Amino acid sequence: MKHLTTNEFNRFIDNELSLQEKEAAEKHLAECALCSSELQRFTQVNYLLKEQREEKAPGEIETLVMKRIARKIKNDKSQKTFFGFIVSLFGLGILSIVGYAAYEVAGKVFPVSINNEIVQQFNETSVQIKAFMSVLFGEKTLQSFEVTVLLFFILSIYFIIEKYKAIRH
Amino acid sequence: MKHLSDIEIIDSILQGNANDYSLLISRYKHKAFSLLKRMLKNEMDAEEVLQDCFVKAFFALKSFKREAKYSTWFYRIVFNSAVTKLSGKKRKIEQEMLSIDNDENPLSLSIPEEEFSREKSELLNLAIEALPENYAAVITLFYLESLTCEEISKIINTSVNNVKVLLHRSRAALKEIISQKHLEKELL
Repeated sequence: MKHLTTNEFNRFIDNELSLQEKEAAEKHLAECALCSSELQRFTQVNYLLKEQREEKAPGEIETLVMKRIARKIKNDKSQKTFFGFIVSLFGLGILSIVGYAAYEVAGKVFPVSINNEIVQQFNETSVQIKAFMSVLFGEKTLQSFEVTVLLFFILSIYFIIEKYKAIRH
Repeated sequence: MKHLSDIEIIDSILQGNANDYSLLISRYKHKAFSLLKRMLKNEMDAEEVLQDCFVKAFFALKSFKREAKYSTWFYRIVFNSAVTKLSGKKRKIEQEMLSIDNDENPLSLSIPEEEFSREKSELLNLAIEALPENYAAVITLFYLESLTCEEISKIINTSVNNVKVLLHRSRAALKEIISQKHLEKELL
């Protein structure tokens, strides 16, 4: 009779052989010293694996992991706050643009001004604020401030798109 | 002290007691570390990936469906993280998992001669670490974590039959390593 295969040895120690297969294997093992010795080795390896001990993880792992978790929670919170701030600014910018566009359109659609005095006063006040700011900071600083606000507005759009991509990811 | 089940601990964490997570870490750190060390074959990498796995699992706890055991779910994260780490090192473990018929010689990895004097368990660990990653993973999950072939198949994302084939091959390969390195006296 031919010797047992590796698969048969494995199935023998896992008790996966059918009754017929087991009987045939046992019969062969009783006659074949080579297979009998091979089975003994498989059984010993199996026993050795059952008796194996786990390897010790570094002792401070709990502390390190909990610290990382706390840090991540904190970062996520500050990221959320920053994102909220950017969204608010962006919303404010959009509202200003929509408001200004509505004001211009309303001026053309309804040529009769509802209250010219208020509009005039608003224009005067904005001119005064601008003049005060230019005295305080200088004309050039004021211009660069306007440019900065514009750039910040564009940047906030970029941030929102990136954040949206990250959330989707 | 009352022994809390994994699910009880998870419930407590989800109710806001984040510190209870350290109980889960203590429970799984050694076994997960063993699996990672045997797969990655490097203690530093294993430590790093182990931390990542625990952090990842913490933030994914909300998505843990209680259909499977927590251990199966967690070991899946561990196994996948190890595979990602290995693929980062240009290792193709997934290909090995899919093509188990590939007759790669698992004995090509050698154990340094000077390691032979170490005690039995360390010798066995070295012999297991000399196995290919997928063999080492299956042997660790089956014997050390006492998981069934079905649970292992869910973790490594393959069929139960493939797990059995891998298990048989791992045992045979380990037997060969022990024999080739003349470790029978020390181990068997």
